[in-house]
Amino acid sequence: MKALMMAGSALRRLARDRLALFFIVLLPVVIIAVIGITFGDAASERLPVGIADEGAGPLGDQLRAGLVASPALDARAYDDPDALRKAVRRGVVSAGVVLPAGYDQALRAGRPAEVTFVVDQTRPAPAPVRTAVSAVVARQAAEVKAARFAAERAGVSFDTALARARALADGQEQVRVEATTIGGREDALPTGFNYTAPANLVLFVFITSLAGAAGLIEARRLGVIRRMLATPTTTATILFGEALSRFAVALLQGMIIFVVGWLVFGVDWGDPPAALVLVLTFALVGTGVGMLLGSVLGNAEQATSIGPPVGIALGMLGGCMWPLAIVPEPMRVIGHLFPQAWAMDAFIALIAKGATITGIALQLAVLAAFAVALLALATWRLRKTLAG
Amino acid sequence: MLRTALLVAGKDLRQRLRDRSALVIAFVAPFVLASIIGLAFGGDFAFKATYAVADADREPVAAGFTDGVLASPGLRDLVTVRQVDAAEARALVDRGDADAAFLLPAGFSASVQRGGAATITVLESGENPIAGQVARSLAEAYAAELAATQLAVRTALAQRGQPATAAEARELGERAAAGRLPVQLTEGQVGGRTIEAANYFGPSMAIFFLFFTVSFGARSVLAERRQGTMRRLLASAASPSGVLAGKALAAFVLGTSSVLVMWLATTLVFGADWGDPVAVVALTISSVLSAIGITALVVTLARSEEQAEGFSSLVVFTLALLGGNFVYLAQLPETLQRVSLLTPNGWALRGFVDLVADGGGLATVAVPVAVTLAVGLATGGLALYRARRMVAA
Amino acid sequence: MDNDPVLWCKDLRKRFKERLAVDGVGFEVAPGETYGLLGPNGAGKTTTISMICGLLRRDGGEVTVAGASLDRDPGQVKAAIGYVPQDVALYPDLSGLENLRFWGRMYGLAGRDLAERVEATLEVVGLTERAGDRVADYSGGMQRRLNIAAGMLHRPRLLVLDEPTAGVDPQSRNAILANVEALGGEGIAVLYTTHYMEEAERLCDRVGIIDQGRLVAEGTRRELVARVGERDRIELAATGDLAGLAAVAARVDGVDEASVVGGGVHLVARDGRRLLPRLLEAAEHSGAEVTSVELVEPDLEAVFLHLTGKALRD
Repeated sequence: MKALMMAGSALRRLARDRLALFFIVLLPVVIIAVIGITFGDAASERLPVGIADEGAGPLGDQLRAGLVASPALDARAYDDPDALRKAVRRGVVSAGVVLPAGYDQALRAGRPAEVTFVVDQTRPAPAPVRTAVSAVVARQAAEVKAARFAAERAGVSFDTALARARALADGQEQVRVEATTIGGREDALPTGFNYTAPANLVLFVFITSLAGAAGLIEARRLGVIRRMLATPTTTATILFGEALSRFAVALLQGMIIFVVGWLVFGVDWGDPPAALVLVLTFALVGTGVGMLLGSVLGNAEQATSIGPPVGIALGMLGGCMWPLAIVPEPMRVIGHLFPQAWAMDAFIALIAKGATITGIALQLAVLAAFAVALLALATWRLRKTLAG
Repeated sequence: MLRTALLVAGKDLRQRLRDRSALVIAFVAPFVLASIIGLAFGGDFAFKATYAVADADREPVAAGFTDGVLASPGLRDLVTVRQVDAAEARALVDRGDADAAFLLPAGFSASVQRGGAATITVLESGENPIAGQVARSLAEAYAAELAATQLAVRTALAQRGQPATAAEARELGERAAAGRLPVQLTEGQVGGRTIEAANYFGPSMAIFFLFFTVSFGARSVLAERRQGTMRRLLASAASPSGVLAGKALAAFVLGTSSVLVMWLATTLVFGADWGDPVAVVALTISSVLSAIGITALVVTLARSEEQAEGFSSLVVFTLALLGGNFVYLAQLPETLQRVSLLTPNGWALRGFVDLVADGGGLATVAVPVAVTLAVGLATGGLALYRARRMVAA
Repeated sequence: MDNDPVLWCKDLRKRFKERLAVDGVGFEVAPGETYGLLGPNGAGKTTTISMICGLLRRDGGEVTVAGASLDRDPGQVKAAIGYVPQDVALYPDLSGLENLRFWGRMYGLAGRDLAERVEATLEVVGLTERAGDRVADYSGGMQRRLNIAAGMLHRPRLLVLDEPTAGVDPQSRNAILANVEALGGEGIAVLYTTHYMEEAERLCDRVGIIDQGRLVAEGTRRELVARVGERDRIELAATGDLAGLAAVAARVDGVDEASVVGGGVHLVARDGRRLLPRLLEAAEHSGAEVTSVELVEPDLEAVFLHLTGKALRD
């Protein structure tokens, strides 16, 4: 009863702190929106690709025409390769194609030629761009190859043979590649808001919990806890109340993102009871982290200043910034030392693979173990400091 | 005034160095984060994949893929190939025992040789998208080769004008299949120099944390006011400008050393190369000044220390989000990319990346340095004006 | 030269928007003299001190410290003053030693001189053994002592102490008062504000009584008490209608003033001892019941009551 009262008072204090509300409610929603749009479903749009022609000649023009005509690409001309490289680096276009000088002559003379595909190593070009550009280049390669071969065999000019090859290529039956992904509902990774909403839920519940340690430190320092101990209240009740306060805030944050994600961004959280149990369990983990940090740190400012960077770091490791599926194996293992990765695994299973509560039982168990261990450690430390 | 500034700066730095959380934010966290991302995206890790191949055809064209492409010297060390039947291939991918599977149907070779349609099916595992992508592009490249050969044969025959016997067609096909495609798509870099992950994320993280690091300085003005030490300082004949100059100096020293330590650490540990040292130092200084100016202005706009704390983390978060420290700029919609140029960290980041990619010296970063410097001086000046009033009150 | 006042101020005025906080305050403090500025909270003590220390712009008035004018030589004035703020204005995350070194440097000390002064001052305030500990780990009284130490490092001609004992335990308070007494003996002029009458009586050679921004009286304790005349203060603790009791008591012949203070009524009267029976008799009819009676010899509290019609602490 007293513990409930303490939690109620924590929520009331929160409601009065407009800045805290801003961080707990508005900031995550804004970030979900921004990043969700960023990583949103880009397949429907033509992706911008830059083309720089260094003087490739007629065959270069043909290749460029092919890129312009490609339904997947939005081709833009650049004056020189440097400008194109800058544009790719700055993300103005997602990739670039450089048509080298002497391209036409080289191919006519029977020499090989290279077309440069400019991508930023730190962020691979979207797969559709690569596929579309490859297809256009492959088609020209096939035509040139066919023209050379036919010209040589039949003793006609390259141009005649090329014209014939181009005409035939249009009607040719194709050797195709058919790709399907198995082991997922559609794709194993959710996209757009379906990824950023759970990622930010995990990220922000954790950051808020870290920062929430400040309240506990203040209460310890200002002697509020000592005063409570002076009332006829047991240490256990007070610790439970403090934990419940932190849990209430963490759960509130989680539920806000959950509901906003569902109603505003149309996130499909999968099996609702399973998702709710997951949010609840992760809020418990946050509670444990907040309590532990609150028992360890000396002053409240440390908690507020260390919260965001540490939260962001663990978020990166745990797959809140990008899916762990795209990082190398060692990083994935390191990531799973932290609760974020398990929570993200569970959310992905619910959202993308249609798992139910039994499907995420392992992740829930691991998260519960995190929560229990953190809370036990925090209780032990706090009991020691309060007794002293 | 100079003496005051130096004394206050020395005292502030001593306080910062004693605060472990400040050290974590200035030096430890940025390096740890950059290392994490560097490891996650660095090219150092070896790509390894297991592919299942179900060759129901067992004729030369299909074998050209299974024995030719998949067993090529370039792939042999990276890819483990398991020859199975179609059902087993699907099961392997489903269980996650294989990262992808290639299915080559019966009659594949015959159809290709006839000049007809044919399909290579790639089954990708959702667990490992990278391996799936590699598998798909291997198949696509082989399909393109086959298509080119088909086209060559058909063009040659059409040019000759008379139908060929089966033996002739086969002979033509074999001849046409020889040799690489005349046009290859090679990957090119976005700059004159390679951008390693450590080169990109080192500066990016340093700039992100710079704002947290530097905002200590501005917040300490409020702390001095709360503790009453500000009154005491002013009673000791220290001028408000001297005190504020000292605070700015401490923030500058801490911020600059945070970036420079990052530079040194990524260079020593990861062999990163941030580019021309003079340009790096210039850009560091102007970036630190802009961070000091902005955080100082934000703090002077707040009414209480708590509010200042909130305002500054809010501003730092927002700037980081818009400036591209965490989201890759390239994946932002175009309008947001322009917005990133409204942030000093966006400009600083652009400068650092240009320096890494294009090389060159001061000239490469002239615009970013000018912009961040201007932001720093403008916001810093405004903050100084407000802070003097605040201190005097 | 030696008899010239260390601090001389005249006609200090300060207005905060509607409120006139300080209205024409002026006084002098001689070398070795301890001057107490006595008044209730909000009387204008801190505002006056802030103007003298150059922390607050004056709306009017002049300040001279150790022969230097605040208008012409603010730097010299500030260097001559040791200012001890009301709050513990120290850096809690630095050690006592580091704090003293910093403040000493801010006042221009350096090198051996600084080291010697820091050592000596730590000795005076009894913190030598704890000098290496963080100030945050000090007790409240130790922080107060260090707070004063930081103000006297540079051998100021004038030490300004703004309520240095507010919220301090009795033991530390005695230590602080002893320190201040010793300073007077060393020839330092001390300007001391307090709302504790007992402190002013014990420490101060002269006292200025300030109320609502005005200096209402000034002099040695003896001079001030004489203003009240040879009159006694009678403190009646009572329950019931205190206002009624005050009104009745005021009508008793020989009672000059009567006012309700806390849970009782304070009176100023001539020859109070002989008055007591009549007073108690009158109280019978007042609707209040007197529970105890105390007769107090004339003191600054009585002076304050006399001058302002209210008690120093309410």
